[in-house]
Amino acid sequence: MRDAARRLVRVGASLVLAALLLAGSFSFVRWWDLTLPSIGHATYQAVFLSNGQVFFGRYYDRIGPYVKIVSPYYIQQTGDPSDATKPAESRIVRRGDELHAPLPEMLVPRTSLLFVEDLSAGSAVAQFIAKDRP
Amino acid sequence: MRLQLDRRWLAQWIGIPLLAGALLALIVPPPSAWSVERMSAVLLLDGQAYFGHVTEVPWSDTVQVNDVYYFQDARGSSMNLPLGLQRRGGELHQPTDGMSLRRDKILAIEPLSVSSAVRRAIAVERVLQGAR
Repeated sequence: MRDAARRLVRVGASLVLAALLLAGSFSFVRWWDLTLPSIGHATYQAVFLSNGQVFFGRYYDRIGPYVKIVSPYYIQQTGDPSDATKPAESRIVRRGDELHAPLPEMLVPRTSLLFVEDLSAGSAVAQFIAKDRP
Repeated sequence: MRLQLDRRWLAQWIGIPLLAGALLALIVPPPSAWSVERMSAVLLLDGQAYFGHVTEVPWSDTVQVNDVYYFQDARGSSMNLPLGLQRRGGELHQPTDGMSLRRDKILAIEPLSVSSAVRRAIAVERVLQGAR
């Protein structure tokens, strides 16, 4: 009788432990998002893609075939380059206001990545992002 | 014998819950996405963009996109618009639903926000298709 009660307590404790571990593991992976630690890196990076596009934002290296750019920004050229009276202007634009209204995160396959550079603290782009980021 | 029993206990009550929790976190969408359809834009290296339901194919170099829509020049159509949303499937070769895209030809994948104009256009297109 005492053995049965002891076994019941043991199974109950094991169940509670298993539930806690499941919840803990679930929360950890959700929070972690398979990103690799980026110790010593700057807050923002410039990510150069193989098609010539450049995105600025928080770059996260992840386990798996994709890297992630959070709060991506890009340079938009305005004006007509062929018209000498209207000189081309560049402005930095936050990704999200396009027709398809993407959420502020991009998954980029590693194969489309050319290189990544840290932005210095004095970088005009980094300062703009820090001010503009919601 | 004692060691074997402990190993079994460790696997049953620690290993499996840890693994199950991790897998669930990867598979189950976040609560914010439960009530809305998850749609993404798949931007390709050649400049083409497809919108639809993206599924990663594990251990494969392809990405599956279902219920695919894309933009096409619609100036020649009755709408006479510079851009028109098309559902993949109505082309000359009449493909079935689902595209397998090579991952190394993808530039980026972006989830669409709830307020996305493309999402609204897809909803309208679905209503029109249902009425046809």
